[in-house]
Amino acid sequence: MQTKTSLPGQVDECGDWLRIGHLKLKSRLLLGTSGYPSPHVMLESLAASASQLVTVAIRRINLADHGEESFLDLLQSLPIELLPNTAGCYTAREAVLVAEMAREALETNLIKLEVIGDDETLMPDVEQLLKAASELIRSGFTVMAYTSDDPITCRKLSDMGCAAVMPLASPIGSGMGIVNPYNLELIRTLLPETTLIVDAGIGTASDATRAMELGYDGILLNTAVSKAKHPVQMAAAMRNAVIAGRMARLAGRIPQRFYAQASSSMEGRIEVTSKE
Amino acid sequence: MIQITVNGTKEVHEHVVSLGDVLKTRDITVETSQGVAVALNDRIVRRTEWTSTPIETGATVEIVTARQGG
Repeated sequence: MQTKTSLPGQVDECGDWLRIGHLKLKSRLLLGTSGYPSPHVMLESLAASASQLVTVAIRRINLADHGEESFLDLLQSLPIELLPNTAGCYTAREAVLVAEMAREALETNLIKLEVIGDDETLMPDVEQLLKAASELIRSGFTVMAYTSDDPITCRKLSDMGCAAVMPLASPIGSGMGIVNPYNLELIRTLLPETTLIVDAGIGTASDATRAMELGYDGILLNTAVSKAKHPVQMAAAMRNAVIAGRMARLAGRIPQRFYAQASSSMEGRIEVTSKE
Repeated sequence: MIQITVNGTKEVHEHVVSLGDVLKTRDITVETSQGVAVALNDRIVRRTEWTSTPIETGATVEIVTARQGG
């Protein structure tokens, strides 16, 4: 009989780590820090999510008010790793500079690379993304690349050495969930060894579970929690959703079929002979 | 006297020679700059090089830190 610690799928308990660069994470949920009703709610949400890798943006300090430093102090008091992003960058040149500034400010080689094509869709500019990823990898960064759900781009990012390839489920902040599960599944199939994380578009817990069931290694989300009616509760829901999806993936789902199949055997069924 | 741009705002400085001098006017020094990074004319300048990096009129300085982001 299997003991509790040897049960396959005990994702929180038995060494089912998410590995990104030098990191070895128990939690497969990566959470953003933007848009919470208050710093208190953000901290409570981070705790409820159990996320160990938390995204931040790199922005100008407010020269009139050093309040931002307290934001960083708040995060650095937690048992988490910070994942700076290049949000708001439209060119490889901008993204590389922001990544270098993030490394200097936060003393981390980790970077969530975003290079955006326009304000309306916030879709990646793939040409600039590939260029930036290549430069950053050469400079020793651990690159986690946010990208479109295009299998070819994902393969290029993987081949050049990105630590994680992160296709979107749907546009950033849209909450539309997985609009093209076939592409996400195809990417998983084509890149079986790559660390794949669904980044952007998750709206609710079932979206996260579905992505994990498709075989993704993790989920990165922000708005679904920060703008939920009850962010802390949603953070807890996302934590459980990611664990559920991971366990279901490891457990192996049954094949889908068009017709019913009785789960109770017909053998030993009684016979009723009297008529109504 | 030099005219520079710091985080998008034009400023006039007297008696500054290095990037470190400019940062010092903001109370940013190597010792107090945890969580801060600085770029001069679109190039990162490591904190150990602030005081040895000369600054000239027309320079653009960007000073950043971590903020809320997704």
